[in-house]
Amino acid sequence: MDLMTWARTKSPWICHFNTGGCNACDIEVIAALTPRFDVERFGLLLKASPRHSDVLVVTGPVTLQTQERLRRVYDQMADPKFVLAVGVCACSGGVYHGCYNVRGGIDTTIPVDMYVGGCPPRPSEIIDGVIQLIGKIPGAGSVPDVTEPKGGESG
Amino acid sequence: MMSEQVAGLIRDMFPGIGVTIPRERRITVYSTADRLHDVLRGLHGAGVTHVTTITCMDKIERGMFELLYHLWWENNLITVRIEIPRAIPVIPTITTIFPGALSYEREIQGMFGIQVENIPDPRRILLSDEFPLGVYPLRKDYEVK
Amino acid sequence: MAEKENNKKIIIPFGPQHPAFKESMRLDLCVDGEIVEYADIIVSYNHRGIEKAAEQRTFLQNIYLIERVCGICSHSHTTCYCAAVEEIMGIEVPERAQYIRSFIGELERIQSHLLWIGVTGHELGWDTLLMYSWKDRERINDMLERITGNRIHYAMNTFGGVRRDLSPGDFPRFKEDFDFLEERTKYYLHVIAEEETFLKRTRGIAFLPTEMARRLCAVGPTTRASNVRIDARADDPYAAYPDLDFEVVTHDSGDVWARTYVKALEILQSIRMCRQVLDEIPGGEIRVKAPLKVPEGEAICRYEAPRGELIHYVRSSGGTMPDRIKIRSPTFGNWVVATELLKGICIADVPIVVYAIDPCMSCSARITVTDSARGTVTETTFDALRRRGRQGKGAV
Repeated sequence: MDLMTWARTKSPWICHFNTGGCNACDIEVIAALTPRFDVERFGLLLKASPRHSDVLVVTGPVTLQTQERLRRVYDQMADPKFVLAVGVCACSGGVYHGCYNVRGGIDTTIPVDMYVGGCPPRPSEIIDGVIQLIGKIPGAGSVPDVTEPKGGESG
Repeated sequence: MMSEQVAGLIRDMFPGIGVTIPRERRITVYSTADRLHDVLRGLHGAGVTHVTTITCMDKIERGMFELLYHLWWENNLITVRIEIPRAIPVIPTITTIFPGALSYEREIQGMFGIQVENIPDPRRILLSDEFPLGVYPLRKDYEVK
Repeated sequence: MAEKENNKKIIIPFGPQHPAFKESMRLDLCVDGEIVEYADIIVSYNHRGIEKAAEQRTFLQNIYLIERVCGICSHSHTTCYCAAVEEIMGIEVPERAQYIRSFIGELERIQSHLLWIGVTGHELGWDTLLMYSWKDRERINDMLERITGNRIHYAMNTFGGVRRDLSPGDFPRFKEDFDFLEERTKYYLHVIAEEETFLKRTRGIAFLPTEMARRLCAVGPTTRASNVRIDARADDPYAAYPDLDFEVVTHDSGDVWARTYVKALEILQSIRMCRQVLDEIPGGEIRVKAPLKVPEGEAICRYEAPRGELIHYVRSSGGTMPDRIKIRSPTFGNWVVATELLKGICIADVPIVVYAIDPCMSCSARITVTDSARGTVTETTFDALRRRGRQGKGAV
């Protein structure tokens, strides 16, 4: 594995954008950063700016107002970039499909690399989605094993 | 205060006005658009400060919009109901009496096309920039495509 | 810009992609140097058209939709909606179901306030507080998952009662969790009251006088921190609240600190109520059979959501679908307040002032600073602004 691929697969930095959802998925994305789930052990870091990140984690259905902004955020990311659609709303519009102010899922606006379904998906499922995404990077080799954290309920 | 007391106070303040008590802690006051300001000003003078929200309903079969002004006072939700014609949906602003009602007036303006006269901020509040002007999604004749 | 003096003023748009806010929204701040002169809040990014969608779904289908108005207070919305429809139907929910509704509602309040305390820490540049409080919050999520099957969006309510029962075998474990959370909340109270850094960043910031809070119709802990005693659980009791002992927490400081303090104290009150539910919950059915059709009628229900007063108005014309559902969520009532509070504060304090009213929002950040005098456009990040706040006012 060359250095660049190694850097990309060992520390994918994420940028999070909510395009109009109910926040449930956003809470689970942030919960993934907190000690119970701790994404940073996989090298993930939540960055504020899309220019610093490799993966755009998008939640919520695309509303008419956010569609152009989502496009702009995606364009600002440097290549190679990946998009993770978190939650059924980001995948297909979810429960808001057909509403007058909703365009639909994320793939109506930008190309999506990985869909994580759920309403909302658990933090471990979101982490799993990011890890599977890393595995798709050419030259990535094997991906880390995402095991459920011990203690608590089922994570 | 008990609902009967509040209802009695309102009846004394505005003789002839219709007041009903659907259940405890809920009072409905039936008013008209031209009397709305007097009623709200009178209630404000009696101590009402909190506007919970303004509900609008499209009574398309009767050609009217029904507006409900929900006010919370003395452990009672007082709903002042008025109707305005759908063809000329004009209502004066209540922000001169209740400044906190601005968001709700902007909402009914954008969603139903009700013209709120002298509203301090007439911009659309919820609909996107791309949403066509003059189209009001919560009206009954708006079809969701 | 036409006038020369206007050229000194800069309009900074915050958002819609922004780490301070959990939903998309945009703040346009007109600044003169470091001081915000006025602010404009644009909330159209998150508008989905739920009220219209609700008119095209049956009453029962709407429970699923209305739960998703908000992820953090989903139970609040469904309880309020179901109570309104039950009022129109004229059915009485069994007492056990009312207790369960209140229990889940208070658990939701605890997790929402712990979430808020954590994100407040993050806004102040204090990620340790975020990590600590969210780790403690996971206990509540575990409890909710044990009872309802999900961490968020519990789907507990239906017309006539609740869908799942509390299992007495879980009660000892829940009581242990409450003991733990009470101890942790007391620790956070100590931090809020004594920690010098926290006090410096929050004391005296964004003061909301009582008179202004009343005049602008503020709701929730924001207004209770300005000594306005308004709480739907006490003034307009619903579910099991007539039987539960609790105090309405108020404070007279009216600043960001007071809002934090009030929320932490409310967690203790919620734990108190939850313990009471576990000790006193009556037996019996959790659900009565609701009629298939909702008769003609209307109802208005108020609920004290974690962020404040929530109101649902439901009108049925006797058909399968509602004639009108009107939802006014608490944050919508506090926007006018937020706009006022932003006047006269430093840019570095903007995140915490907006977040102090507990808006239902969050994103990642990117800020464009347009200097109309020089004709330049520069980009900065919200992290940079937050760092600015940590370094003290005036530091760049």
